[in-house]
Amino acid sequence: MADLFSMAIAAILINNIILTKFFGMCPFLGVSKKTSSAIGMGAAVIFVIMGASIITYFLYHGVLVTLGIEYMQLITFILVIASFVQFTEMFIKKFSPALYKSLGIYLPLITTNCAVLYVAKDNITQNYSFIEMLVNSFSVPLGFLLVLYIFSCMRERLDIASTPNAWKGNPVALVAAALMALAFSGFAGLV
Amino acid sequence: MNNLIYAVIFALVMGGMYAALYALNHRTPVPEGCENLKEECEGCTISNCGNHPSQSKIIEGE
Repeated sequence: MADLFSMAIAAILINNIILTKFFGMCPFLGVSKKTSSAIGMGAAVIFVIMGASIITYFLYHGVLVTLGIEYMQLITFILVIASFVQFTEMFIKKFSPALYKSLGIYLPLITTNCAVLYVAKDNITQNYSFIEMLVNSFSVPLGFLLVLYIFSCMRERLDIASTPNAWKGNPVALVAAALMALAFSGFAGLV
Repeated sequence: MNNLIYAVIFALVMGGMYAALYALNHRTPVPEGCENLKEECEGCTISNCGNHPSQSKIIEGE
């Protein structure tokens, strides 16, 4: 139990997927101008990573290993993620218009989010058990949501700050991201 | 040899599944009030990404 907790803390704070591995930089820069967008995107990423990880885990151990075609894992995972996003979008379009209104617009963006593929592959390469895979698949996108939310708060504040013209927009946002990465590096050694 | 056949069949099944879900998703009507929802991606430097704002300008211009 303590191991799982340590694993979750490490995934959220210490080895944060954005700040230490630089995965998911597109939504990090593209969907972080407003806190509402950041929360919507983060929630959609948690859902897609959890779903895609569970499917890829069973597909790898149940089909690819059984047939001896483990070398197909990359193309399989890409197609599973893309299919899962299409299915989720279709499902919420049909059964939950309210949810589609809040999350639907972020789903196509997730297809291009390499963090989803990273988590699916990491679960296999680290040889996680099912429970460990679930904890990892929830903690990593939770770290993504946390950093995206904090960064969106900083960007909203930066928008009203008096910055030199040459620094307005992405340049000052990237400096803020670098400072945030330095701050998060302080968590190293926590677990 | 068998492995290669399994791999080809598996890839075709996965590709077919994606194509079917893609077609089904695009045939499913968008709920009322959600017709004009726009992705709020500001765009990174990957200009050939389908979500980059420059791509929607290309489609509108066609």
